[in-house]
Amino acid sequence: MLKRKTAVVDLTEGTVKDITVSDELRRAYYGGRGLNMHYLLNMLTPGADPLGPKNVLIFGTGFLTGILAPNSGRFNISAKSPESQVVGDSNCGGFFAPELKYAGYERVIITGKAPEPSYIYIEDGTVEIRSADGYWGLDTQEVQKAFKRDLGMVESAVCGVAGEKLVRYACVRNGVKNAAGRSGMGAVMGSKNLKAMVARGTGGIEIADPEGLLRYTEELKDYIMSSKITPIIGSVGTPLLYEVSNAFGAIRTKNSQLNQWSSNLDAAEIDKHVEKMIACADCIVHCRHRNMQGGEGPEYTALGLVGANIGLDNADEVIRMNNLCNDLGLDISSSGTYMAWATELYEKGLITKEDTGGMELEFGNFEQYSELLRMINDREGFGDVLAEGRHAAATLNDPEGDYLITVKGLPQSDPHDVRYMKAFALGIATSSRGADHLRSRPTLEIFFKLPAEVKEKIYGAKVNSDPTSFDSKEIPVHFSDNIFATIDCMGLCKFICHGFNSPHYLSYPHFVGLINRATGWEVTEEELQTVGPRVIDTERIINIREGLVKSWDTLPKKYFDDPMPLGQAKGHHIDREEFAAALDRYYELRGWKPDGMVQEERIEELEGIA
Amino acid sequence: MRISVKALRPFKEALGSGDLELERPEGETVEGLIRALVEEHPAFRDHALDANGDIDLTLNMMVSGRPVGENDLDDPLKDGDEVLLFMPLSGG
Repeated sequence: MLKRKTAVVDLTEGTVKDITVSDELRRAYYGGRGLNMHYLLNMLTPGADPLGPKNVLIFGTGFLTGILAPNSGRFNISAKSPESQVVGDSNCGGFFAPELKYAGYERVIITGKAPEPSYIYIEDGTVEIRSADGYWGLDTQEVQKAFKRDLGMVESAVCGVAGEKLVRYACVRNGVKNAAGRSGMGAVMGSKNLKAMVARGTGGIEIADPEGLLRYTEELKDYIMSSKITPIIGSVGTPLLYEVSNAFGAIRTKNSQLNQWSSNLDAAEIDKHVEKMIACADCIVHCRHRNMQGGEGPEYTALGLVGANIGLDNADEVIRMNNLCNDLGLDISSSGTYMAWATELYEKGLITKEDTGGMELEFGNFEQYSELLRMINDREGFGDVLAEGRHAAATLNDPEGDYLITVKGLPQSDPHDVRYMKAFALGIATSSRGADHLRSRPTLEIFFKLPAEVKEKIYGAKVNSDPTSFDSKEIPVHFSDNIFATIDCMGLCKFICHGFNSPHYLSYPHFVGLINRATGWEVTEEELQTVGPRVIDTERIINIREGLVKSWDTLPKKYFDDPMPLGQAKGHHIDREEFAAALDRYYELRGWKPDGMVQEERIEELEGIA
Repeated sequence: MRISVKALRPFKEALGSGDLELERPEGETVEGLIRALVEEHPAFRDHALDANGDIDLTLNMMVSGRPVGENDLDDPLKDGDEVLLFMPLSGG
């Protein structure tokens, strides 16, 4: 039940082979991020060049994707990251994942490198490697339109020219804005001469109890829609978060030299540019804006990172930056972080016009940043330097990356300055793919009035209610890590899941309810709760193989050394000793050794799953 | 005493403004302020109060930089306090 095929495509040899996936393996990792990590653990050669043919690139749909479960249209793309020092993995919405399942496949594992630009076409149980002649060189929008023109109602996941040119933070795009944005998966596609995954499917998915599943899905939809938060996300979207962070004084501004910015980017200003709200496959929230400038978005991340972080305070300009990143296929989080980094280095005199090819970098210059994005995309002039991301640190006279807002080599994903909320800080420090809110952001920490006994019931232990204290904050981070990993295995959107935006929404009992009705299995909550830790440990083992040591679980230097200068968060920073103690407690809670390594017995156990 | 209220969406629509300057009696508590706002702005009731008439979990507050926890609703405000009202959300 619920099972589709898994293909291994060797682009070097031009072969396609279906492989068997046991139910034991499915119940260990389910799908999405989890199964992707299992295959990376087993197929990736440690130390492989992330932009070489030995890297393994995996497109894996969520376990519940394609069956009308609420907000379940998601998939993960995973590989060794060319951007960070560790595992690359990115979760994406849109319409590609259900289409891939209807085409008969739940996962495609890609090895090798095609001898010429290619794309992979999947239709109703068949997988073909085809020439990308006529598609190579197109941006992410042009190429998707070209596939629809030539192949009909297909869905595709594509890289842009940035991916072809191996910009280390090139993303993968499905639709106008849906992105597997983080960790440079578009560059991995480019390195394999792979322009796109294109799917067309007409097949159904076998369900154990279709009527029961439909009734249960209706119940869950009513439950989700009864929340006071759902209509706000569906009408305002994530731009609301900008004004929350900004009012509080926690918006990354000008490369985190400041922590507060203009109200010109508040949601009310963004509203003036919104044509309508739209949704991903099977979504009942519709959090996405279609903007009047011809694109989709902006999200909070764009407002922060190609807005406040580069000193732009004009909503129209920020939306245009957002749209340009989307069209080119560049990760907004990384693009905004690197451009702000270079600008601060220029302002401080660490680099000069000689380094920038004559560009006089200054915060707030829309024309300059638009041009710089194009130069990065084309690897032209100074853009070629910035296309290397943090790998350009030595070239940019910042060899230790002291001015970079990264963890494990990955720029922080979201615009929230975490120096105030200590659990947020611990979360981005320990995240497997680098600084990222989608791995473990313990948002329940900002439900200030959540009763202590409710928190204790959720976390299974008492947690200090002071958000500025590290005391016991390993507990919410551990909890969030685990449930977010489980959500990523299911293929669900975090916006409707417990712990990300609410103490309510869907949690383990609901996931079990969906799984059992769909498969006929008798999974228990207790069993399902082992999945998250398994995924986290698998990612940890992959990272250790790539050289991870304890010192990589850290934070940007500025977060330790520079107190926040503005607003209600003024004066807050990260104390090194308190952070180190919290990190030790986190390791202990996760069952890792004091040096952050995974226990040998656990490695043996995970390597033995087949 | 003078209290400043900065309300973010969706609360500011219900209050008619995102920035309010209020004259309140000495000893007014955080909860007292919220209930006074509900009294004056009926549209704020659904946001501020839950089905039991208690202060809603999704009405997050900070008073002059201090988060208002479950046990802080009875805390008295003081002259010049700045009260921030916002909905706790995450995303990127």
